[in-house]
Amino acid sequence: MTREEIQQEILEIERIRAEFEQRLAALKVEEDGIVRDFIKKLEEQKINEVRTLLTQQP
Amino acid sequence: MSTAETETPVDEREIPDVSQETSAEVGPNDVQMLGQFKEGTISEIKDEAKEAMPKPDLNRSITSIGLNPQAVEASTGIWATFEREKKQIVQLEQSAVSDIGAVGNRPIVETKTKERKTPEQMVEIREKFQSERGKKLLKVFKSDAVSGGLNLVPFVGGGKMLAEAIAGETLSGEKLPDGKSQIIHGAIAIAILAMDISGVTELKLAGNGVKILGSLAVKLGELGLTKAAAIMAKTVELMMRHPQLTAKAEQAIEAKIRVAMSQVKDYRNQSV
Repeated sequence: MTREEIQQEILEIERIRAEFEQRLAALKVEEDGIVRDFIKKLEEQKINEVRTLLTQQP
Repeated sequence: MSTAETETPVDEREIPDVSQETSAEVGPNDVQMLGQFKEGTISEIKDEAKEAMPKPDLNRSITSIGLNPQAVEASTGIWATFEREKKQIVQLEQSAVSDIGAVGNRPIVETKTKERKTPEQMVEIREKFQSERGKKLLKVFKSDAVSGGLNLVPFVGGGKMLAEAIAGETLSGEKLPDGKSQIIHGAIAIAILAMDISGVTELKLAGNGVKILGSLAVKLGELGLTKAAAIMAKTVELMMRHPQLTAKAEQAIEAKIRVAMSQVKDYRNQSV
């Protein structure tokens, strides 16, 4: 095995890792959006619940 | 400038340097070094995947505001969504580990020999990968950088801060000391969320948190966003009753608000 072949393999490993991290980062951004939307729905549910309670008060 | 951008890269692992005499045959030490590098990369990928698994403590947040977790799941499907994400992360990890394991175990394809790089180009490519990897690790996986970085992205950060306010602590594990601090933390979060919802980009900083939120409450009312306006108006009253707590929160968050507000317009023009 030559040094050049080792270098090629190292680069290939680096490339695979960089691609993995890019895809993982994309998933985390998507998760941020999921959490954001979920919190908004929670807020909406809670507001509706409070509004219902207020309208039921004498 | 975000804290993430001022910190040094996380990646301190050395990449094997075999740039000398590329055509020379290598000894057993070099082959062993390559094997260790491969194993080390696989190990780090597994750690990164494990760290990236979604683990939100949503049940506590849900029950703390008086909602039923089962009912919330029925209406939002949030846990099923996170389970799908976990499977995707596992698949990504398995694919990367398999591909790395296969490096060197198959013949070098013809196209690769045609694209042979010089030693200088290889060093440059390797350094570029290291730099990109370091930046990605900082911005995505390191807890403090994630916490600070997300807050600078208004729409996303607002939701995260609101989740923190409800849970009573930040993603970095710092406890918000009491209910009032939680509410004030949440107020800033709602302001950031509301900015994005309402498209408010011209609002100028008035100098302190009470004025900012008060002005924003009025602006949102004018835009017909009465719910957000009402929440902020009530929170402004609370902040005015507790000036020391408010001042403390303002010192910690005001700089982030300035950056977030200045970036709202730019953020809207960026694609994710």
